[in-house]
Amino acid sequence: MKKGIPHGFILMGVILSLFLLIGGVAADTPGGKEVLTFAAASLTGASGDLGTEFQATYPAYSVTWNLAGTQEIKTQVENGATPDLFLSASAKYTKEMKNQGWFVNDTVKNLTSNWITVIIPSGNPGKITSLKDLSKPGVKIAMGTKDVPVGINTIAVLDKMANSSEYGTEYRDAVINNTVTYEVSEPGVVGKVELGEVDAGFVYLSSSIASKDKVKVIEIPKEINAIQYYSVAVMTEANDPEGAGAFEEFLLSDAGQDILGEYGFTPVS
Amino acid sequence: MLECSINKALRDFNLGVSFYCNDGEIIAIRGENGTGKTTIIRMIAGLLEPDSGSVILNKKYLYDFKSGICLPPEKRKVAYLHQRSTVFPHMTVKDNIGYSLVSKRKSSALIQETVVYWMERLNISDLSGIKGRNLSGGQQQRVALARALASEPDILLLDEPFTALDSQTREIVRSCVKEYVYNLKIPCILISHYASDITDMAWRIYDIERGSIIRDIFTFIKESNIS
Amino acid sequence: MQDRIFSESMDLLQSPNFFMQKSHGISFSYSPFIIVGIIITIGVLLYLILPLVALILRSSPENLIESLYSPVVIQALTLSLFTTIITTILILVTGTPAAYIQSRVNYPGKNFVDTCIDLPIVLPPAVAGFALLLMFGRMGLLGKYLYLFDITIPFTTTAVIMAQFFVAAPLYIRQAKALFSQQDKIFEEAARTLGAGNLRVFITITLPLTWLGLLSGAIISFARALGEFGATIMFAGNLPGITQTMPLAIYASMQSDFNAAITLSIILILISLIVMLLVRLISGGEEHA
Repeated sequence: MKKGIPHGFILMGVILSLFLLIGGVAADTPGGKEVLTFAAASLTGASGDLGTEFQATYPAYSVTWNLAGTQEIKTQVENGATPDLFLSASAKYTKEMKNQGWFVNDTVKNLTSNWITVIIPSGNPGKITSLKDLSKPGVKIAMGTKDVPVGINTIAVLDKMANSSEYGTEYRDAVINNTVTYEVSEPGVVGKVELGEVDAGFVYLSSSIASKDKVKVIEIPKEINAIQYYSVAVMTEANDPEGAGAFEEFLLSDAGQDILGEYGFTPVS
Repeated sequence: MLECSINKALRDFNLGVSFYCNDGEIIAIRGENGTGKTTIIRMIAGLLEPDSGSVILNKKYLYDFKSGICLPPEKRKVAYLHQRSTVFPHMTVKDNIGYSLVSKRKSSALIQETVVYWMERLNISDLSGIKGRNLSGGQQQRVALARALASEPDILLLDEPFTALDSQTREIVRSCVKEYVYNLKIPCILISHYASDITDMAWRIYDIERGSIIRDIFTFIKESNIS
Repeated sequence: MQDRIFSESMDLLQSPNFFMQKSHGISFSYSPFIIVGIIITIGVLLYLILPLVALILRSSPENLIESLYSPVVIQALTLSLFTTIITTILILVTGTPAAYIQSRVNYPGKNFVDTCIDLPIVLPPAVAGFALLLMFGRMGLLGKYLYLFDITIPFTTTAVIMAQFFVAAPLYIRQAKALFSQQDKIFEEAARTLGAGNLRVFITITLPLTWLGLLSGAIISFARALGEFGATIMFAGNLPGITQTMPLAIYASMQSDFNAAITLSIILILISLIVMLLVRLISGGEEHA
């Protein structure tokens, strides 16, 4: 053929090479290797410091967080997401995922714990002074859905209260009746209380400490409370198992546990 | 009688004209495209506001800069026949023609009578139930004229209204206009680039160029032409 | 003889005319640029359609029928339809005059008002919900006065309608305004010279000539309101039967009631398909009118 290669084909070749180039570049991030960590939303507050301190200790790594309700990140994993590390706020979900083989078994450890507590807006529009007041008619309460860990544990607490002589089943039913919204993540509950739109909300102890300027706390005694175990585990399909292992080690070390303590989590003995 | 003396600054030149039109008289405004003819008509109809001047119809102010009067079109009794067809496409011929009468809240029997009269007058009775969008150009212009005349206007403004008509229809329509204007004694302004329209209908011609009247011609039309 | 056919064929292959084909009577050349374009288009199409197919394949007809009777699905479906229909009616009643004024009347600050009306279209829905809460919530700018009269809006079905209206109304107003602006003014002018005032012109001339376009705008608004999530959950909260619309129900039941989530998703997809078809039919009809 007398003509050279048509211009169109040259253009095609350039575009395809560009795609390959970009694909190759995206694999390595400049900030060191990424440890992709899926974590329960209630860890949002602590996540910043945890990531920064970890990188300071292990400069080769950096943490990329995906924070959402544990039920949501579990669904993502079940449908193909491949994080390196998984921080769950629910013992129930941890067990399910362990049984399904998502975790490297001997890396499944207790990370920290949390309790449920009740917070009220600092202005106290609902005039709540004790747990009993939550059953008063007209009180507006926020809690988590029955799928999100904070919701699961709230129901566990309410069930315990129903079984106790001090509160009884009528109390629990009245509280459920007063619930005006089931939030899909724990920060959602906290937000509604902070804004003063509800009279009370069932949240984690850690959140009540983090928001102590904006809310008042009404503690739930440990006898009727439900302890929440957070677990950490390396994923079997992790892209970077070493990085995941390093971060897990950091989280379980004194440094990591101190940070968690600052954010109101209760260490596991 | 129409007395019109208006100014408006346009993009390329300033429009400034002063003219009159007697009752029962047809005057023509003639000129190249873009010289301001349609602008003058629109200002008389109330669709455009002049910069200054006055428009007086039958001793009543339609517009007066000094006193701040500017009547909206619906309060001026003008009939404006547009170059492009303005027959309402979604209404039937009957409803089109009767549109102005419904505005005036006449009885339905009277409206019916008037509409029938005008359809016969302009030979469009067989089109009565057809929607405006389904008419040919020539048919639309006849409907527009019927609609305009049915509204009993105080002045008739015709902006190149006969373009889409064949010569026979043109004849009917021209004589209809002349008869109406002479019998009801209203002024009429005609814009047309067809010499035959002007010679057949106009008593006087204003030639306009770049927004000013440059020539004022009397033609000789005798009353006998109208028989 | 064969040599000649052969050499003529070779000439044809080598000539630039080889790729010319007739398409709708117009010559169209399939150059490499066009071919790459077609491949990309097919890729995008697959990307958009296959996830929906996967969604549908995850369920079986029995599961679908069964979950149609579950309270979660029924409550979400009825609540969604109820609120969205009301929202759409409100949008039509208030948005049409607003769009008309914006297209016909010139007043100082009009451009600013235009921008404000367009704003919710680009605003993230969660921000919209947050803003609504800060305004109409119990402690909100306006809401705190309502609270004095014992009126609270968050966590009510009214809040759902308000959230839907906030995100969907601008879509309709924008479309209606464009429609009114493009509308050939000669008919309105003719009507006015025939003695019709503003209201009569609007009802007898403007509306009949634009109603098809307005309808398709309303349908798009409907779809947007139906799918609203972020603003709803922020401002109205999530309570089955009161504020849990279909999108919220899908999100809330993904983990524990997978079938309900799938069923609701399929229903929403079906409604969206119908919406798009209707709009297409209507605008197609307009072109031929």
